This record gives sequence, C-alpha cells and structure tokens, in this order.
Amino acid sequence: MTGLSVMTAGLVHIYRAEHHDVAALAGVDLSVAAGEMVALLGPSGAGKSTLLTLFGGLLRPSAGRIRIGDHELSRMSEPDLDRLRGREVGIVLQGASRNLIPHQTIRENVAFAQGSRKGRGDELTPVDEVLDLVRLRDRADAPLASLTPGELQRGALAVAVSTRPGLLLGDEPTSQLDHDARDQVLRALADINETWGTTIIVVTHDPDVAARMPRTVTIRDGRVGAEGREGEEFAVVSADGSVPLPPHVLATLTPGTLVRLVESDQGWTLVRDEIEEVADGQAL
Amino acid sequence: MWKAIRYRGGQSLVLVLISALVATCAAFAPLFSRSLDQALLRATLGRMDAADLKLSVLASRTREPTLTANEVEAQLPAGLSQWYHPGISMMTAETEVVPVAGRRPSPVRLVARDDVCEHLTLSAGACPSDASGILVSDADATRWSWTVGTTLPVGEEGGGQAPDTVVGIYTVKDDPDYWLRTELQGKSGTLVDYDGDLSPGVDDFVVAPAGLGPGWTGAQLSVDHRLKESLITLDSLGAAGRAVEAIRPPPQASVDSPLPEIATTVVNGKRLVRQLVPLLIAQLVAVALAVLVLVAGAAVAQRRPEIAVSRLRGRSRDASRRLVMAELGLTVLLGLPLGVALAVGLSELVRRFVLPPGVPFELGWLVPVAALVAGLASLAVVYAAARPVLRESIASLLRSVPPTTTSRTLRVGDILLVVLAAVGVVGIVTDQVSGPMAILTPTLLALAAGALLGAVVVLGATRLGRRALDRGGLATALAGLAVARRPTTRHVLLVVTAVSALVVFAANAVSVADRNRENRAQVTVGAFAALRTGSKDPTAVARVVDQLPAGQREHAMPVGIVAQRDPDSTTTLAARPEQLRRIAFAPPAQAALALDRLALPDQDPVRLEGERLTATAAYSLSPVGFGFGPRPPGVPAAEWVPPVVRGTPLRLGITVTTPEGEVLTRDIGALPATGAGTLAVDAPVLCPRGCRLQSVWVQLAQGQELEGVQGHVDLRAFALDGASLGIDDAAGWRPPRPATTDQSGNSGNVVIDPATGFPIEDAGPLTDSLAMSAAPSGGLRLSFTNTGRNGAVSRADAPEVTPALLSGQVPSGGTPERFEIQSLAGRTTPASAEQRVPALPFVGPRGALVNLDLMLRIGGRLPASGAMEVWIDDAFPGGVAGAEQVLRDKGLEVLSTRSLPEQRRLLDESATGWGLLLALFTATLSLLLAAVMLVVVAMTTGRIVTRDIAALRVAGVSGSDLRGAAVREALTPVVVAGAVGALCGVVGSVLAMPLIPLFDTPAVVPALDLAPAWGVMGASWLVALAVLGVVSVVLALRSARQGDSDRLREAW
Repeated sequence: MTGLSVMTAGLVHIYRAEHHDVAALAGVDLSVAAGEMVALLGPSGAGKSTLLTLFGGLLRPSAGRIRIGDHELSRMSEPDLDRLRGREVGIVLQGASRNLIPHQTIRENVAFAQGSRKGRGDELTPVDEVLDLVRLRDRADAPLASLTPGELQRGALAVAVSTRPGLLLGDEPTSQLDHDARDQVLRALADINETWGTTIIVVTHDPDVAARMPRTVTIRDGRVGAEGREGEEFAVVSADGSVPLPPHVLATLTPGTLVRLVESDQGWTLVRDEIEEVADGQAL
Repeated sequence: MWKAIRYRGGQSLVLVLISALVATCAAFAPLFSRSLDQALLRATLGRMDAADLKLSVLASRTREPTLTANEVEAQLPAGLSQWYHPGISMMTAETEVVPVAGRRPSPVRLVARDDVCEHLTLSAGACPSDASGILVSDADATRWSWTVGTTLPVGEEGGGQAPDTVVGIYTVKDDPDYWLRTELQGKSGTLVDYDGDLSPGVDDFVVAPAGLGPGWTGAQLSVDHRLKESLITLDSLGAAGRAVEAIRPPPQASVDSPLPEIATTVVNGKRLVRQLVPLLIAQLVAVALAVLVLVAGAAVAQRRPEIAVSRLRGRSRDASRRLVMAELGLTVLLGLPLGVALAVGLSELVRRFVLPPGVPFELGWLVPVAALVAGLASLAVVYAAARPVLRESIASLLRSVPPTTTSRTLRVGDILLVVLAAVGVVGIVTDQVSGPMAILTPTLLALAAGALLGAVVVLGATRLGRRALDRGGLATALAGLAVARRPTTRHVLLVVTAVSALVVFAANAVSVADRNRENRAQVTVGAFAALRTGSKDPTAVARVVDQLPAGQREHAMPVGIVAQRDPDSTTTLAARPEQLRRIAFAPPAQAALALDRLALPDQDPVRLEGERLTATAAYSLSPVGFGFGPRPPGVPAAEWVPPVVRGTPLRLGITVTTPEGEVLTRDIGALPATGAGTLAVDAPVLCPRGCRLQSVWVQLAQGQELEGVQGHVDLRAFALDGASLGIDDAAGWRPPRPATTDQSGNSGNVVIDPATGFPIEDAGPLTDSLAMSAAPSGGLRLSFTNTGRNGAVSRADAPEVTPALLSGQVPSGGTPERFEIQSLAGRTTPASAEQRVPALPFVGPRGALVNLDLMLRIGGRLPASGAMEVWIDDAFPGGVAGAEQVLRDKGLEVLSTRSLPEQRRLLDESATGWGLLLALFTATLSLLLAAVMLVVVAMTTGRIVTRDIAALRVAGVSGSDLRGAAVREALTPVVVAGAVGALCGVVGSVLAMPLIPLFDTPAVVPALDLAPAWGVMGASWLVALAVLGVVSVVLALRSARQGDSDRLREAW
C-alpha cells in the first residue's frame, strides 16, 4: 500500500464533561499529501492528540469532515473503522507499553497485529521484514521486560506498521527516550516513509524531532496556527479567511490594533498605521 | 493463551480458585446428598441386627392341618433369593410336660427347625430322627436328672403321637445369624405362671419335623429369611421391597419385613436432605458467584489495555470478546476439574470420617451436570463482566483510569434484593411464607442490608471524611474520603455483610441443633446411662444399688418403670427424688421438677415379720337402724323392749401388703354389736416372708339382721410376738377422708307415726362414717357407724393418694387432683399431680413420676410391662461397662443399656444431623471466599491506592498518618459490614430457625429450644471479623509500604 492523503475541513471536537463541555478542536482545516511526513506541534491542550485520535477513527468528530485516502471517516460505521485501522491506518500511542500485549514478544505482537488481516486473502508483509525495517529483528523474541525503552518504542512502531498501512499516526513516539533511541526511532520512521511511502503524522513536543520533519503543523487553541516547511514558519489562512498570528507577533499587535495589508511584489505586508511600522511580512 | 494466563499468574490462580470453589459447591451438593442418603440407609441397617432385618413368614395350621414349614417356604417367590439368604423353616407347638412324676406339669415348647442340630452342641445322645425323639437342654437335664432314654410324659394334641423320648442333651451354639433371636434356653429354673399357678419353667424340646406331624393343629409355622445387607443400597432398596411385596403367602399366613419401614425412614431422611443441602449450598454459591463477579470484573478491567490494543489493531468488538473469553473462559474452566476434584475429595473425607462405614463412593450423573452448570454459570459471570468493557469505545479503553465512579444511589439489583428480603421477612412473621423462600430469607436479608449499607456508607464516609478534615484528623479524613470514592467499597460491604451473616447464622444453627439433640438424647435416656435389668423385683434392685460400695453408690439410682399397653397412656416412673435430682437429666426448657413434693411421709412402715399380732380392743357399740331407734312415742317404757343382737357381727381386722405387692386382709377379732367391753386380740399374721401393716379396719359382717353398728373401738398395745410395735399413737395413723362416709342405702332412723301407730321414715338413709382420734386411755380410737363397708384407718407411712409429678395430659377419666396410675406392682393406684410439666426423664410427655421408696413400701413385683433400671451418671467408676459388670456381679441380668453417647450418636447420625454439618462447611468456605475477595480488591485497586498514598507522601503527609489512613480505609468497611452482617445473622436466626428441621422425626418433647446461642454466634463473628480484619490490615499496610515516589513515576 502506498501512502494515504489526509484532509480535514472545519473539524470540530467537543469533549462532553459532567458539568461543562470542552472544545478541543475548533475548526481545523488541514491537508496532508500521500507519503508526506508531518509533525503536529503545539502547546499542551492545544488539541494535537485529539486530532490524531480523530484521524485514527478512535473518536468521532463533533462537526466537520475527515478524509483518509478515499474514506470519509465521519460516515464510516464502527466495523468499517475497525477494518480501516486493521489495514490502512497504523497508530502508535504515547507510551510504548500501551501499544504492546505485555505477555508477548515483539514478534508475537507483530503477528497479533497482523491477525486481523489473516484469512482474508491479503498479502501480509513477513514479520521479519517489518522487524528489519525498525532494526529489531535480533531482539524480536526477547521478553518485553528485557527491552530498552528505545527498543520498546521501535517495537511499537513495528506493530503499528505490521500491516503496511498507508497512514501511520504517532503520538509522541520519541518521548522519554534518550537521544540515541530517539534518533533510532526517527530513522525508523524515515525508513518506513521511504520504503513504503507511508504517510506519517506524529505529535511531538520535541523541537529537534520537529526540525527533522519536512513539514510541521502547529495547532493552537484548537485550530491550525502555523505551518513550517523545511524549517521555515508560515501563518495559515483559515477557511473563513482569518490568519492566526504567531504568539510573538500577537505580543506586539494587541487585540484591537488596526493594521493594513499592503500588496507588493514580494507579497502582502502587514502595516500598523499609527507608527507605520512594518511587521514581519509573510508570503502567502 | 497459556502465556496470557501465566502472565497474570496470581490473578489467574485466584480466578481458577474461585471458579473451583463454585464448582466445588455445585458438585459437592449432589455428592453429599447421595452420601447422606446412603449413610441414612447404612445407619438404619446398622442399628438393626440380622433378627430385626429378617423376612418372616408366619403361618398356622388352622385351615390346612397338614401344612408344613417347608411347604410354606416352597410357596415363596424365587426372586427373594436375590436379596435374602435361603429360608430357615421352623415349626413350634406349645404343650406341657411333667418333669418329675408327681409334680405339676410345666409348659414346654416343641421346636423343629432346619439344620438345628448343626447349631447345637450335644453333650449326650444324637439328633432326633423320628417322631418320638427329643433333645432336652443341658440345664433341664441337670435339673430334672433327665438322661438319654428318659421317657417324658409330654402332652399330646389332636390324637397325634407326641415325642416322648430323650435322645440327646443340647446347649445352644452362639450364632445370631442362624437363630435370629429364637431362644431355646433360658426358661429352665424360672417360675412361670401356668394355669394360675407358678410352675417351674422348662427349656424348649428340640424335635424332628416328624415330631410335629399333622396332628399338631396348633403348631405355628415360620420361615425366616436373613437379609443380604450388603446388597441393600438406595437403588436396590426399592427392588427388594417389591420382591417382598410380591410374596403371596398361603391362607392364614402373614409376612413381616422391616423393609417398608426402612424405606420410609430413608425416604423421609432423603426428603430432609433434599431440603437442607441445596438451601445451605445455595447460600454459599450465591456468595461464591458474588465474589466471582468481582474477580471477573477485576480481571476484565486489567485487560482493558489489551482490549484497546486489539481494537486498535483492527479487531472488532466480537473478535476482542472472543480473545477475552478465550483467556478468562479457559481460566475459569480450568477451575472446573479442580473444583470437582475438591468436591470429590471433600465428599471422600466426609464419607470416611463423618459418615458411618459402608457408605459407597458414588459419582452419579448429577455431579457432571452440576459441574457443567457451575462452569456455565462461571462463564456467564465472566461474559457479563466483560460485556460492558467491550462495549466501551477505544478512546475510553485507552484511558489509564477506568471511567467508573462510586454510585451513591441504590441500583436496580439492590432494590430487588431489598424487596425480596422484605417479602421474606414479612412472610415469615405472618406465617405466609415457607419452603425455599423462607430459608433463603436470612441470606436475602443480609444481601439487602449489604446493598443498603453500600449507599449509606458512601454518603456517611464522605461526610465523616470532610468533618475529620475540618477537625484535622488527617488519617480519618483520608480513610473516609477514600472509602467513599472507591468503586469496590460496595462490593466489599455486600460480600462481607453476607458472609458475616452466613457465618453467624450457620454457627447458631449448628449450635442450636446440637443443643436440641443433646436435650432430646438426655430426655430419651433419662441419665448418662440407663441399664435395664431382667429383675422384676424393685426391692431387690434397690437393695443392690443401696449396697454398692461408696464411690459407686452415689453415682447410681434404681428406677422403676411401668408402661401400659396403650402407647398414649401414662407410664409410671418411680425414682428417689434426691437421686433423680443428682443423677438424672432435668428436662430442658421447662420449670425445675418440684421433687420435694414427692417426699415420703414421716412415718416409717410397720413390718410384720412374726407369727402373732396382739392388741387390746376396748369397745362401746350399739346397733343402729330399723328397730334400733328411740322408744316410739306412745309406747310405754315398760312395754318397750329394744331388739337384741346376739353374737359378734363386727369384724376387726388389718390389711397388709406382701413383698410381692399383694394386698391381703387379716381378721384379728370379732366384736359384739351392743355393749362395751374389752377384747384381747391375738391373731396370726400369716406373712411367712413378712408384710407391711397398711391399715386397721372394722366392718359389719354380711348376713346380719341389723342395719349397722355405731360406737367406738379403742385399740392399743399392738405387739408382734410379744414385742410392742409402737403404733398406739394416733399420730402414726392417717385420718380417714371425709369422703369415706357413704350412703348405705339402708333406712335411716325410724319413728312411729302417733296417728297410725306405724313406723315412718323421717330421716335420710343410714350412712357409714369413720373418725379417728386418740383414745382417752391411750391408743387409737375409731369412732364409726358401719353398715357393712370396710371402714379402715391406714398407717401414715403411705398417703392414700400417691403424689406424682405429671407430664402431659391427665390420664383419661381423671382430674389433676385424682387420676389413676399403675403402681410398680401393676395395680391401679390413685395419684395426684403435685406438679404438671411438659416432660419427665425417659417417659417424656406421658408419664407420672412417683417416689420409688413409696412404691417399695406399697410393695409388689413388676408386671410384664414393667422394668427395673439402674441409672448412672457419667462419674460411675468404669463407665457404662463398669456399671454393667457391677450389676452382673451382683446377680442382676442387664438386658439392655441406653446411654447418652449412644443416643447422641443415633441423633447425630441422621439426615438433619449430617445435613446441618454442611452449615459449618458453608460458613468456612464463605469466609475463605470473602478473604480471597479482599485480596482481589487489594490487587485490583492496589495501583490506584498506592499512587494515592505516594502522592500524599510527596505532599508531606506523615507515614503514620498514611498507614493509619490505609488501615482505616481497609478495615472500616469490613468492621461495619461485619457488624451489620452479624445483626442480620441474628435476625435471620430468629426468623428461620423454626423452619429448619432439627430432627428426622419430630418429637413432642423436649420442646425445641431455639434460643439463640449468643456465645457461639459471638465467637463465630469474632473469628470471621478477625480473619477478614487481619487480611485487610495486612493488605493495607502493604499498600502503605508500596506507596512511594516510584509509584508516582509510573503515572507520569
């Protein structure tokens, strides 16, 4: 399977609590091309993990649409979502151990994950091939308790990609890892993307991880706040025409400030009238 | 799968154990029931010897004069041989023999029995082979000097030739299986009543079958079949019974078999077992399933991450359910064989060490069925526990803390329990509910209380925690708040309440049943042991006991018992009050026996052990009645000549009682009807073995031409063979009752009608009267009017009406003040009820207790229905065996012995006795289950609890506060639920004990003593609380120890 594209439009998700509701996502418009590697960034509580969970079909959006490849998630039934996760979407939860059956080895876990496709005539990727991809073949039969955190995380990756999905979702796949382990995980992600063309979306707080991803999307207050391409940061125009400004710009342009947009050859320039100070221009 | 099971080894083991316990309960019930049924049969058979169990066919020659025993046997169905040994035919005939020429004939029985000579030892001669031969007993041969060849004059019958020639001399070989209680010997040398006279007894004459030919029309024919006991099982009992029913005896024959009675006993016992066992087991199964629900829930909760992973990797809910059920279901099913094995082992223990020998090991088809049902129930519980978890979304499953909260309100199940319990309690109180619902009510009550407690404690703990927090009681506050928010609190409260109630209820049931069995055994036996002697002589038995050496004498008492044929009649129980108080068991649950009211009169009996009785009788008498009135009016005094009575028509006599109890009268003088004078009494006593002076009397002799005599007689100087008897004092005599005055039916005083000159009656009829007073010159004065009735004044050594303590109803025709009982001589005697009680020792609800010494004064030999017993207490040297030996050494035959341990054993070896033991089993097992549940709760909530503790530790709460909080959090629900459970157990006991059968056969007395066994209940509750409390505290301290910062790191 090749990579799957991801597209959201006006995605809203509200958590229903006992006495109040919490809007985790307040209209996310995002497109990820097939085979892309994207890091979702943002402060805690911004809605990154919620977005990832919605991509995995683990939650239903309160409003808006999600399209994974040809699948419109909001219209899929529960069994269809099960099948989607079993074939086309791999998920790595935060905390390696949460992804693994504790009493099985990595090899057995991979085989277990492939179990949902057995007997359906699907061609399964050999377990060893999967393990080779994450460089864990020699430790595949060791008890989980004897594996290092990095090995466990790569094991979790192996399990998530065992069915060779078109989309791999990872929630903090490098958290609580040392540098070497983190690098190994990132290398494994890159190998997966390169070898199988799998679209990869990971949530991370780690700026080093973000820096090594070709594209970053910053979620802020439940919306797409910014994007980074090859290390360069961009503001993103929302579907309603608004442009969330970066925090450091907002610090100088307090709410209520009047600005003008001035078009030039290089694009649009944001001008504050009173002092005629030119803010950082952003090419749109 | 095995790796999965092994991974959570401890939890799997707990699950296997709980499942095994459920299976154990389910499988043990049919095993135990079946064993009890078999034990009942074996116990019933074991109490009966071969003679009791035999099948007897009895016939006579009334219709078929030529019938023989072998012909009777030939008519029995061949199918009998499957259950019975070959029959032993016997013919007997009653006749008489003159043992020695010139003596009175003695009754004798001729016996012809199959293979009899093989069971006799012939000291001389040979087995009779023809119609004339007789075998006589060795005792008779010695006593009467009979030898082989002696010809005896044996009575003939119907013209037949009676056997008459001694051909051998026998003694009986001991072989109970052959003789089946047929006794040939034992009569030689005894005196038997024959034709109104006492004759020497003669042992049976053994003759050949030809000796009882057709001429013996009165011959009795019998065929005895000995039961093949080992072949009689629960299954074969019915078939054997049908074989007996299939017997079509010849005319005038009857069939006697105990099998129907045995079958009835067993069926009754089985009914009780079917009632008790399932109900006791059901309570345990309910507790076990409740614990299994908790454990299965915990097991499923621990698999939430794995379920989440399964769903995450594309497996559907059903596929995930299959995974869970495969693992947990297999774990649960692993408990099945273990549970069945445990049940079999337990049953085997019961069979070997509790039940009587001979109970076969039987698995039966119900055991696998029960195990299957248990397995299915366990699987259903696991399925039910897994279902809600599997219905959760993946996002919910991925949460590190399960989204459960402690409900503060009653759930539907709780309300259902409360309603059922209320229905049960109200139903029992109003007597509208019986059967299973009634027996299950205590458990329902406890479960309902546990459910209510859950709601109350959650609220109460919250408030308590907050209040303690305000007051600075940190440990209490933390414990209260933790109790309020733990989801497992309600489980703990429910199970501990139910278990505590079950333990208390079971302990009380066993204790009360034990007490009642002891009470019944005590009343049934009378004392620690009762040795029934073969003696009919109360005085002799009393003398033997009185002459026992010190150390034995104070532990034994003679007791006379005279029963009547009607089982509902009043049995006389004669004992010495002081000994009875000391040695006999007082009937329980009733007022103490007022034994003082049976005290003997102060006067000692007067023994007339001599030849002649002398006394002086000073009299002043005059005739009364028609013609003896005052001079009629109008008749000149000179012409008035009163009638003259000649002779001595007034009899003066005494009444005596012989040692045999006979009441005899002796005339000691005759007095004139007119005039005054003195008579020197000198009369023979005619008591060769001595007798007791009962009364002195006057009586107008019959056939006199006068209606009556009145006046007085002064008696004094009573002496026997010249020795003063010292009975002149009137105080030694008992004043006659006023009721002794009696209408004679004769005319009263007669006067002459002055108008006509004819006599007319102007007064009532002449009446008898008797009064006693001290004579002015010393001695006893009898003042009387006597018309011919015996006017007696009795010695004051025995009351006219025997004082008695009466149990049950007043005998028919009597009143409490005066009713009739049988004296030890078997004579009807008036008695009065000095106290009425529900029961008396041994005789139970139909008896009259009288003073044995009073009966001995009256004298008499026991009738056939009477017996003399010696009752001993448990301190008699050598116990029962020692007492039996002592009595035998003293020449008393001991016919049988009742003992308290034996009677207890009989009552213990009953369906109810064994069935109630199951209550102990259920209590113990439920306690174990509750302890396991606490461990499981600690395992499942341990991580959360230790994290809480770790967080509090980091926040600066001291270790002692944390330990205190942990201990209180764990212990408080246990203590509170234990207390409520105990209360439920007490209430349940009060409600349900009357519904539990304590005996296989209910008895009128002693009345069931259902008073709660407070001590036992308290002790059992403390044990339960200690077990559960220690487990809780140990687990809590362990949690407190583990609640360090590492735990917090796990959560980061």
